[in-house]
Amino acid sequence: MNVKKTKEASKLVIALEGKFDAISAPQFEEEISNDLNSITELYIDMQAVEYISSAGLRTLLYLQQTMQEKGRMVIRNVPEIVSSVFEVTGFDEIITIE
Amino acid sequence: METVSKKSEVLHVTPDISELERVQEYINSLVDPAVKARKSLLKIHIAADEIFSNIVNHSNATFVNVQGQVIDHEMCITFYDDGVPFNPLLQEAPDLVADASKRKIGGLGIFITCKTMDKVAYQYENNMNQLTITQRL
Repeated sequence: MNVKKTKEASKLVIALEGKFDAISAPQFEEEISNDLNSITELYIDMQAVEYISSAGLRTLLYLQQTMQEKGRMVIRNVPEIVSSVFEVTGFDEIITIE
Repeated sequence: METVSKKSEVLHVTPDISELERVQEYINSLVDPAVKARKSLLKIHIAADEIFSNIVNHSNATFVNVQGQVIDHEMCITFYDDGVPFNPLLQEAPDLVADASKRKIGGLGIFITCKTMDKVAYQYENNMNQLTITQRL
């Protein structure tokens, strides 16, 4: 999965591309964890995400729980296949989607 | 012809998460290229991720074999492993209503698999876990 990060002051925008799966999710989580210290807003653009598995959900939950304490996290441009996984797992109820 | 009736060879992989890519390539090899962007195939990739990840993380298996076929636009894939006997279909459903601060992920993978596949079946035979998913393409 390709990760493109754009930081503006305390806001971080991340665009993801590819499979958010059991291989890429832990790598992405490790890559982004240090960036979370200095931000209060996190935007994740999922337009180019091919699909997401529960490993990806685990990472989103970690990010949501971390950001919940210090600001907010917003998921943008969710593709249909990702949206259907959010719906069956109830994730659409616990994360902010625009 | 959109999908080809095809009996595949068995894919042998080690229970290491880096092998997931080979499993997904194998699944793609079963279908006509025109099917590859289809939502039904993406669902199969998600289910394969969940099943293979569970074997890697929890089974103590020494090998995983994957065999699939497409018949009449329906894909059927079986995962065989020699790990601890475990029927994932007997697990309790995860708590889907907890708020984000309390939410846990355990059990979500097989839940997603059961919700998105047309059919999921388990049996333990010849000292192997055998989990089969079926999905119309």
